Amino acid sequence: MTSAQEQREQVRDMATRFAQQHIAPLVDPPGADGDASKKAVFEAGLETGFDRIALSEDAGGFGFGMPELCTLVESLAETSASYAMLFGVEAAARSALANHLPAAGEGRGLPLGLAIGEPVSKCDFDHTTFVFNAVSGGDVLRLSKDGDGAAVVTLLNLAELIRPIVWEKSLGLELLSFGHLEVLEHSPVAASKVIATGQQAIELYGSLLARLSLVSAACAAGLENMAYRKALAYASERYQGGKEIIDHTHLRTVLGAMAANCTVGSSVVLGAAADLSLRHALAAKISVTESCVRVCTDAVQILGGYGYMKDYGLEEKMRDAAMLALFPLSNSRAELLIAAADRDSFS
Amino acid sequence: MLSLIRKLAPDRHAVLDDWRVKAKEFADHHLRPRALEIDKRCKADPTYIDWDLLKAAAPYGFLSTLVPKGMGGAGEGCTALALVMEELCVACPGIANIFGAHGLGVSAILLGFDVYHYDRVLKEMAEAERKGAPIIFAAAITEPLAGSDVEDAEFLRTARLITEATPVPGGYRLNGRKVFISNGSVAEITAVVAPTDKRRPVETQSAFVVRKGTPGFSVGRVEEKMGMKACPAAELIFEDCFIPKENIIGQEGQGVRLTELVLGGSRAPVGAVATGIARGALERTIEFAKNKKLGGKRLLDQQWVQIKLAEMGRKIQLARQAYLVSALTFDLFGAPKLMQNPAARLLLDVMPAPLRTNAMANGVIRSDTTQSMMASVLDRLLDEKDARRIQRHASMAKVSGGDTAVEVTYEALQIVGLEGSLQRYELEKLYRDAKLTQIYEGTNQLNRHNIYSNGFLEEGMGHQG
Repeated sequence: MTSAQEQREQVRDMATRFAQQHIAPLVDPPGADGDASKKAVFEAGLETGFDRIALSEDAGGFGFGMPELCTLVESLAETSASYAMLFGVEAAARSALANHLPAAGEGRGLPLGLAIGEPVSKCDFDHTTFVFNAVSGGDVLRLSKDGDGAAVVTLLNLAELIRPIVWEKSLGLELLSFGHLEVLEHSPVAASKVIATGQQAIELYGSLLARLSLVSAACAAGLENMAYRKALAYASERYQGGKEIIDHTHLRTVLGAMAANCTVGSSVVLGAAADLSLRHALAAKISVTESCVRVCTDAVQILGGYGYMKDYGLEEKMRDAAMLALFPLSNSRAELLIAAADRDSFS
Repeated sequence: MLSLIRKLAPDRHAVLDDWRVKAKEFADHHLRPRALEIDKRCKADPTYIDWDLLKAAAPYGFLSTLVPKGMGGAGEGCTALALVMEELCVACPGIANIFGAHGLGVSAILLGFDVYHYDRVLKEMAEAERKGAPIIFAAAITEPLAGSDVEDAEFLRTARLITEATPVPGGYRLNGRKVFISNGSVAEITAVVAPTDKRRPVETQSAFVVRKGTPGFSVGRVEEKMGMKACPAAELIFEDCFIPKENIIGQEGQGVRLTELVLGGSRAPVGAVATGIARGALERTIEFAKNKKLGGKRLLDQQWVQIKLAEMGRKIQLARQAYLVSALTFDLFGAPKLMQNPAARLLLDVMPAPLRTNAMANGVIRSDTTQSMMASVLDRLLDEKDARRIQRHASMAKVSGGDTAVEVTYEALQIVGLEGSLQRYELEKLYRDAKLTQIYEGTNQLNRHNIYSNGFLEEGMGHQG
């Protein structure tokens, strides 16, 4: 086993133990969690060092890179995609910031909120519509344009806002809170809050987008594995048409296709995480999250009526999978970015 | 398809379009403004049903669309109901599903061709609707260990059934459980399908009218679902529940044929439900794309968005054709043909009710001879090839609609982007609602099997298919 593999095994063990101890009791049965337990799990995750996993040792981290962070997220997602993303987004954002602003490693204890839009080009900063992963009193990283149209990245504290943020419910990943951004657009921003401008801001944006896309892809890899295993277990037990449904050849082709998708997910993510280019990260994100949507939708279908009910946990996975295909940007927008990048490199 | 009907049968088109327009008016004014609020409320309390909305719908007559005119209904067929369902689902599939599940319960009674029940429960329901105090029906088919198995005669033989109606003096004793029954917790009347001998389900499958409050009949858990939350899905429990003999629908042992007739007529409206969901997603996406800028241009002005919208529209149009072909085939060649028979029209629409409902008439109508005669008339009127074609088209409508709904709602989320996942845009709700259309009324896999097993190789691929 190579050193890199050993590191990932170490991370996987850590994630599995943590998930069994802290997360599984809250998500089985699904929906048993609440705000109080979310806070407790988040604090336990910080205690374990999940937010620092991709920070250098100088910055107080583990000195691991994105492959290890992706392994962590994928492992956690096999228990809960929502918790996996809570830690994954936090660690990815802090690692992206750490290269530009070492001090950003400070202020642990509250999730770092992100106010980023869905771009159709790498410099497209003016479409920020809402903020996610933020909590009252915490910081929000905002990417926008200044009065002259130049890219600017600011770090705001929500406590300084004039009006309280308006939270909204979304399709899935229920622990990634979503808030309405209008309040930020009307808030004055002091020069001291600006952490990057111009080209540096664009690079920071690209780095953040790549990391978040990888986290989303890693989460999808773990989620689809879990959905496949649930469907396989059900198909092996459920009797229909005179035999277990796994013995119907059509079902075997469906399960086989699901397994094929799941098998390649991790490798695709790790390959992109080692490279860490925005283009590669987006490609991995599209590939694995689309696969995850198909696998989770098929898993619900295999369980039939039971799959549609909350108690069996698969409907939540289908909703989470669709969210991963939208986060941090929709796969359609990611396709536009990849083609634009390829056109630029070709010309 | 509707424009073809307008050309070929303008009077019929006018009637159908009237239903569509009424449904759109109700959807726009009553459903759409409350869809999100009701969805949230039902998430907190899955047993909640919005009776105020159902009362508001009463003047439109949606609940008694299928009920014969002589019993106070509109005497309409599957096509009118399907058009209504599409319009309602554009606004709120959950509420629309209450009407759809009710239609399934009504169909189970209607297609049993048991006039005795027409004059009692169907008439009671139509009158209640007219008075603005609606009552709801349900059909209970699915069992905990047998979902699709109960809906397919071939699979029924080996189904692991737990519900049985054991014959006892004066009637039947019903024991067992049904699950995921839409409207189950709120229905005044439920049509329950159960064998009188579960070792021989195909030969003894029967259907019974069971009224809410019957001793031994209770509602178990009401499910927390992914979507369609406004329409409660419940477990029904039968413990030594005595069913009087007169509550059987038609004759003992006719349950398989009844289920086939009902599903032949109900899968087109499910296709319409799914088409409505997809159309709802397309309309909301267009609205968003008109107002949202990305990269300095309106989304609607971007080619990638235009192509995706066109593709969504193409799929919706094909799903609509599929359900209209299915509904029209059912209405023109299927069981409703019997209702259009002059003798049936005289009996159902013209003859004063007291002549049908007096004791002597009842005795004649409910006699084994009359019931056997009705069954034989139905057999003669229904051509075997037509019966298979109805099954194929019904399943095609259901599969086409269900797959379109899931694909189109997903594409809508992709166009709108992360913002589209927020509840206020309603797209996430439609995505959740859409998935059920691939599952209920027989999963899409079972329906594909149904397409193949109903004369597909012999007659399913040509123009006569």
